[in-house]
Amino acid sequence: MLSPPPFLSGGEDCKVRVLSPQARREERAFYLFLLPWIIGLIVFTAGPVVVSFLLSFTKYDMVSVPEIRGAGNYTELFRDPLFWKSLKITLYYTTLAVPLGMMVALLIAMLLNQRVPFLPFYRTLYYVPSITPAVAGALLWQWLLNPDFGIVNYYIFKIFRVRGPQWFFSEQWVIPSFAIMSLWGVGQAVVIFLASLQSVPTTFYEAATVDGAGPLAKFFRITIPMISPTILFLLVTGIIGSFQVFTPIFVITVGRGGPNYASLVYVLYLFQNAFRNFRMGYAAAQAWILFLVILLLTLLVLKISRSWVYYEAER
Amino acid sequence: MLKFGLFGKLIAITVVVVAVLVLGVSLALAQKVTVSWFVRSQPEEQPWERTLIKEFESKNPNIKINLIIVKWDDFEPKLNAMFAAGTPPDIWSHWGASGFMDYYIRGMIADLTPFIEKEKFDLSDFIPEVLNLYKVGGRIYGLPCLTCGGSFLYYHKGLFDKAGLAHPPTDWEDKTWTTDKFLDYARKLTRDYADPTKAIYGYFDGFWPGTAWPLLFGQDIFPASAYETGFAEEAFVTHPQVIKAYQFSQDLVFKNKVSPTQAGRVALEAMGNPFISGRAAMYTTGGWGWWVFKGLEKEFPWGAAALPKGHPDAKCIIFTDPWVLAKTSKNPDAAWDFLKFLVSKEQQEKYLKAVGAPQGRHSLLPVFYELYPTMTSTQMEEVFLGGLRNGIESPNHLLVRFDQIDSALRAFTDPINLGQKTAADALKDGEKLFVETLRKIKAEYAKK
Repeated sequence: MLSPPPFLSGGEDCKVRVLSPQARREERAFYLFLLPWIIGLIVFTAGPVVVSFLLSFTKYDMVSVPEIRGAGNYTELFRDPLFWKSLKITLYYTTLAVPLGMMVALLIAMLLNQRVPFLPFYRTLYYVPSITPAVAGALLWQWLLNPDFGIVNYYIFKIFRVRGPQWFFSEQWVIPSFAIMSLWGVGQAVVIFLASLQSVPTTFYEAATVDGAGPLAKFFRITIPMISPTILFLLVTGIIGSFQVFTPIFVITVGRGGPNYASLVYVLYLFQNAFRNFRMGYAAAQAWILFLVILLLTLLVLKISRSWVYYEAER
Repeated sequence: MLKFGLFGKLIAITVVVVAVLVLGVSLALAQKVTVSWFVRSQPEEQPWERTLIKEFESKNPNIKINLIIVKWDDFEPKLNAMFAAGTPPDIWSHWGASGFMDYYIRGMIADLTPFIEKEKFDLSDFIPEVLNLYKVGGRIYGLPCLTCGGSFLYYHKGLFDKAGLAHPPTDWEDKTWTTDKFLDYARKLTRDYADPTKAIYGYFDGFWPGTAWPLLFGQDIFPASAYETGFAEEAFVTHPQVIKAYQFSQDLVFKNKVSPTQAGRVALEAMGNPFISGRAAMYTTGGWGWWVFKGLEKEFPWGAAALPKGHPDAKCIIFTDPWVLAKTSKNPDAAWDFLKFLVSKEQQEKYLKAVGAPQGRHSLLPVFYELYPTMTSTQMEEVFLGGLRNGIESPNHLLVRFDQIDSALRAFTDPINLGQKTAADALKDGEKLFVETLRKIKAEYAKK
C-alpha cells in the first residue's frame, strides 16, 4: 500500500533522513502522483497570479505587446470615479447581503433543528436552491421581480393596493433586490449552522431551564456564544464571496451593472475593463486592489472576533 | 543476432505500417493550409456557410476552411483572445459591439490593396458608398459582406388596416411623415395599455445604438470628424435637438403611453420578438429586420417604411459589414482566395437568397427587391436606397472602442428610459463622465 514518505509522517523519522530502497521508491511514487496537481497549481493558479501582478504594471489590450506603465494603472484607478463607485456599491451590497443572509440562514437552521415530521424533506427543500445553476436562478428572479409582469409586485398590489418597487429597474432598489435574491443561496450556510446547532450540548439548555431562563435568554446566552465560531466562519466567507459577486448581476443587467451604474459591483467593473474594454493591465491592477481590500477586511474581522467568538477548547 | 518471435514480428510490422501512414498523412497535411473563418452565430446564415465551405474546398483542395461560430456577446472577447494567443482568425467581419475602426487602429487587419492591385480584382460592381466606408487613406481594408441599407420602421399591416390607417410611406422624402404623425399613428394603434399581459403597443423601440433618436431629430451626438478619425473628444449630448429627441422617446412610454416600459420590454422580449407576436404595431430597428422577418409574411403581413423625421435634417443609421483579413494571418494568400470567393457575385447572390440581407453589389439589388412578397419591388427600391441616402454608418463600426462608449451612453440615458429624470436633467448629469470616457479612449489609442 502506498504511504506518505516517512519524513512527512513526523516523529523520529523527521530527524533521520536515511531511506530504504523501498521507501525511496514510495517517495518517488508519492511525488509522481502529486505531480499533476502541482503542475495544475503552477500553470493554472500560481502562474496567472504572477502574470496578473506583472500585467498590472503594463498597458495591454490583448493584441499589442504589453507596454510598461509603472504604477500608472494604480494611480489612474484612484482617479477613476467608476472605480470608487463600484467599490462603494460592493460595500453596500456586502452590508446588506451578508447579515441578511446569515440571519435568514440561522433562522431556517433553527427551524430545521426542531423535531417535526418530514424533516429530511424540508432540509432538502432549503438546500436545493443553493445547488441550482446561478444563471437559472438569476433568470427566475428576473421574472419574479419584474415590476410589470412579476408575481411579487402582483401580490404587493393585490394585498396592499400599492404599486410595488421597480426592483432591478430602479437605481435605489437594484442593490437591495440583489441582496434579497442572494437569499436564494443560503442553503449551504443553513447546513453549516445546523451542524453547529446540533453540536451544542443539550445539558446547557436543561441547566438554563432549571435556572428559569426563557427562550430569548437561551438563544442569546447559550446558542449564539456556542455557535459563534461558525458565525465567524460564515461572516468571513460571506464577506469574501459578496465582494466577488458577479454572476446574478451580470445576467440580469446584461453585463452592464445598470441602471446608470447603480449595480456596477467591483468584479463586474473589473470584467468590463478586462473583456469589454480590453484594458488587461488596468483590470489586473483592480484585481490586486480587490485582493488587498478583502485581505484587510478579513484581518479586521478576525481581530475584532477575539472579543465575541467563544472557543470552548481555549477555556 | 536478435531473434524475433511471431509476436515480435507482428509488432515490428505494425510499427512500420503506422510510421508510413503517419508520414503520409503528415506530408498530405503539410501541403494543405487551413484558413479560419470566424462568424457570428446566426441560424439563418449557417446553411449557406456550410455549403459555401464545401464548394470552396472542392475548388481549392489544398485549402481547408475552419469555421468558428461565436455568439454576439462572445464575439469580441473570443476574437481578442485568439489574437492574444497568436492564433487570430484569418477572415471575419465586425459582428461584435465594436468594429472596423477599432480593428484598424489596433493593427488587427491587413491592407487588401496589394492583393487587389496584383490581381486587378474587379471592384466596379460594388456600391461605391459601401466600398468607400472601409478605405483608410485610399487603401482598402475590407470588402463588402453585406449592407442593411439603413434603419427602418417595420409595421404590421394587419393592425394598420384594422385601425383604418394608411400605411407609412416608403419615400424618405415624404415631408408629411413626421414624428408627430408617427405619434398620432402610435396612439391610434395602441390597445389595452394598462394591462401589460394583453396590451398591443402602437410602437416598440428596437433602435440600437442610442444615437438613433438624436439623429432622427437632426443632430448626432458625435462630431462628424469622429467618423473619419475614429475618435471623439466632445459630444453634443446637451444640444437642444438631442434633448428633444430623448424626451420624445421617453414621452412615448410615460406620457403618451404607446410603448412599453423597460421592464415590459424585457419581459416581452423574453417571450419572443414582440413585433412578430403581434404585440407591437410599429417597430424601429436596423436593417437586420429584413432577415429576422423574412419568411413570416404569411403569418403576419409586415412592411418596411421610412423612419419618421423629427427634423428636416434627420438621418438614420446604416449597418454595413466588410470581410476583413487578419494582418498576422499565417496564410494570407489562401485567406485572400477565400475572401474573394466570399465576395464573388455567385456567393453573394446565394447569401442574399438564403438570408435576405442585401449585399454591396449593384447587380444584386434587383434580386433583393423581389424577395419580399408583401412589398412591391418599387417600394423596396425606394425604401432601401432612401435609407442609404439618408443614413450615416453606425458609430460602432467607425469609432474606436465603441463597446465602451456604448456602455457609457446607455448608463447615462438609463434614467430617461426608466422615466426617472427628464431628458434635459439626465443628459446634463451624464455629460461629464461620457466626455471623459471619449477622451480616455482617444488618449489610449490615438497614438497607435
